[in-house]
Amino acid sequence: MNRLLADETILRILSYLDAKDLVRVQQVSKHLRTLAKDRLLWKRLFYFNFVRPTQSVQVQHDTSAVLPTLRELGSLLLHQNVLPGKHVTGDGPSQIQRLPDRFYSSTALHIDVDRDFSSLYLDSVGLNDTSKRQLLEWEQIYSVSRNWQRGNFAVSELFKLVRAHDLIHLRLSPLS
Amino acid sequence: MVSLTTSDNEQFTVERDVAERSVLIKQMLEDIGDNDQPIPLPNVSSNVLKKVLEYCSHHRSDPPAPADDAEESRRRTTDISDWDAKFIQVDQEMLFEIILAANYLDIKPLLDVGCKTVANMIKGKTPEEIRKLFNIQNDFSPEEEAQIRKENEWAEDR
Repeated sequence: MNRLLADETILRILSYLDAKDLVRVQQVSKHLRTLAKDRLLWKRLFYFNFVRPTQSVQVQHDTSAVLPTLRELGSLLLHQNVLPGKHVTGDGPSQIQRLPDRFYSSTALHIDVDRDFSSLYLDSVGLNDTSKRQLLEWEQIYSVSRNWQRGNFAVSELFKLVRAHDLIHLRLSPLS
Repeated sequence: MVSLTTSDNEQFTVERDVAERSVLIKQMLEDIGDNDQPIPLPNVSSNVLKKVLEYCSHHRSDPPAPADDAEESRRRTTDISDWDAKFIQVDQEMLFEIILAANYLDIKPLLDVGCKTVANMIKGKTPEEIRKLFNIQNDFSPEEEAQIRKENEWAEDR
């Protein structure tokens, strides 16, 4: 497959896969790993799995939102990346079952369905291409959101992600 | 009528609306105007073009494919219509050839059918099964493999 098809085409194929299959493709070979980690693929998955479903549900009460706003999630992840080993302020001891209220969306996600969702994200996370925040990993955001939804969210999970992230950098550095 | 010449020098003559399913050919026809010269397709062989034209004539009256911008909002589905599913039941080599040709000729709906088919082949398979399926070499060291598996644990159902 890698020899015959262009990367662009393989990415197109991968865009039809869900997270579980995408992660398995990452384990096939180095080349496919690079492709299956593509930011846009994960951004799309995040959108279709966590943002789009909330559009069809009318959120009526402040407390009914189950996901953090993207801005909050972004700052949370950024916080974890910048300060590995530190807790989010006010979280208490080592493990938390539920994140503090401020990490939950207090207002419904107001999303205009017709708007291009890529610009929507750039706006809502306050990202732009010159910002440092473009380093946000959509795969990480996806996995955190998934854990969140399943109630698996604990600080220790984030430490693992941060460590894994660092290891990748260490492993890649001799090559560059 | 439009004439097309393949890489192996075979000539195909088809009706214009069939040929114009290919955005590349459509634009070429617009550029050269009324001209009976055959259009050379140096990247497509006759057995592949035959297949592609079969698709184009079946879908000749479909509405034009949406522009790229609208594409992001398309539903993420790997459903394929019955006719297309039957059409794309070919061996792997031909499947990839069709994808390559659809990409080169810019026939987006056909490219999607091909890509969806490959995606459906991947779905639910283990990394080892995927390697076997597409004859891909595992170039990870055992340590790397273990590390990646650990990193990816979150995605597997527990």
